[in-house]
Amino acid sequence: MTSSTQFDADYNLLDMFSCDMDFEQAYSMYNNLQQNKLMGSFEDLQKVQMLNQQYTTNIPPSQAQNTDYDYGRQQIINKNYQMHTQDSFDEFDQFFTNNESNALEKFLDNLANPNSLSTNPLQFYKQNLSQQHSPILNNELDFNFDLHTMKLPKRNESTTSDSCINLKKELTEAFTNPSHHSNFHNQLPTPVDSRTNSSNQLITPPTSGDELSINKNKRHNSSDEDESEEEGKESKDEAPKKRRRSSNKPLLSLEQKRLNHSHSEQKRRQLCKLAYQRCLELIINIDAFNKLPELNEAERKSKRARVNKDGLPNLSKHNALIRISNEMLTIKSKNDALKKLLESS
Amino acid sequence: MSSSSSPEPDTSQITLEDSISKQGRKKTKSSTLSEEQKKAHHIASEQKRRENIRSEFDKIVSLTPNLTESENRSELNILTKSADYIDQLRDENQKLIELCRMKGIQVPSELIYTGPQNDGSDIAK
Repeated sequence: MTSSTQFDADYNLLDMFSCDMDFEQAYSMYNNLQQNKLMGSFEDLQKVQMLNQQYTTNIPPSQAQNTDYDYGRQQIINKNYQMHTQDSFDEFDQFFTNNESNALEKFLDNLANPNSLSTNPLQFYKQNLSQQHSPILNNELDFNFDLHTMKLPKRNESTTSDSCINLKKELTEAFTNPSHHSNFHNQLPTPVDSRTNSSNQLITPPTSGDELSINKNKRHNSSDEDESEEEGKESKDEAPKKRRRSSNKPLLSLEQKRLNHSHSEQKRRQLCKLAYQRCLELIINIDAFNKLPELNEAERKSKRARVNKDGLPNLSKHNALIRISNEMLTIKSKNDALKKLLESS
Repeated sequence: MSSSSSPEPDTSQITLEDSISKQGRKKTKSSTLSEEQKKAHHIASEQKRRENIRSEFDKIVSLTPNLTESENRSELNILTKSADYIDQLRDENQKLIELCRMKGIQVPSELIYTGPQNDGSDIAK
């Protein structure tokens, strides 16, 4: 847990790519590193909290640039609110700057609220800014966003701050490995777990009953892998789901269409073939044809096979058509001659 | 075309080699042109084939009373109706012969239709 071990782990991790190492070795090393990092950051946070308790006005330099955070912090400090967990998560959230994570949350909320006003992605940021300066007004304005978890004045309420934590956790979970997170979970029991359901239910649109119940079950069992997987999906869940569902029907019908088309095409070909066979039987004496002796190879002039794969005379289209018309003409001439005979008599 | 049946293997080998070398020379000289010529020839013959088939279809359409020029010219339609017409002609032939016999007219054998005379022996020749 000391910095030296952490350094070692770090060094080894970097080395992992160059030297050949077992996957398991590397994985365990990675886990250790993550744990150490986490512990280290946690210790740091505790220190910072200690310092904060001593000098409430003294803001740590790492967070000084974060105006959003500052604003919230000052409000909280004025109301003597202790934000242990909040601090820890803010510190832990290395992946996003506060602004970005806010925007992301807004984006997710927006996805959950399809009839909300914003289509412009920049709006997420803009609202963020306006939030800083006129939180109450903003609060009134976008009542559509039920999940504005990052609203600063609402941090005082434990529910919103919890859901904020929860969301952040989800986001970080999506990018960290599962086992590391399980440790995290065990070491830092937060009141989040009970509320995870509600917030997630709000985020994911109530698509189908069974899906939700599955989600719940998974959460209650809270096998960490499941959770992390879900969380991984969570952030990009909304749009693909919708797309899948909307494209589901057309896909099926497309398949159906293709089947129908091929079926009808086969039918058509079969009909054509039958008609052609009927014509062939009318123009060629099939019995005599079948009794024909095998062709002497030397006598052949063309390489054309005499029998096609159906056992019928292998005529070219043109040839068959000529024979059809010839047959018509011969019968017709006979009939005409017969008619003349009848008339003359 | 029937160059395969040469009695002496030696000469055939020689001729084969000769032909190969000739072909090679030709290809190197005018490979692109011959390819183009091939293509053009192929296209021309395909067009000819299609034109032949079309003209035959036209002929059948003109011969068959229940096929009109403006009608659906699908292969299926034409083949079916022409077959129908041949059947019709056959029936007519039988009826006419029957009539002649009833009237006591001697029907010459060449006017009696007894099915297709062609046995397809001329197909591969």
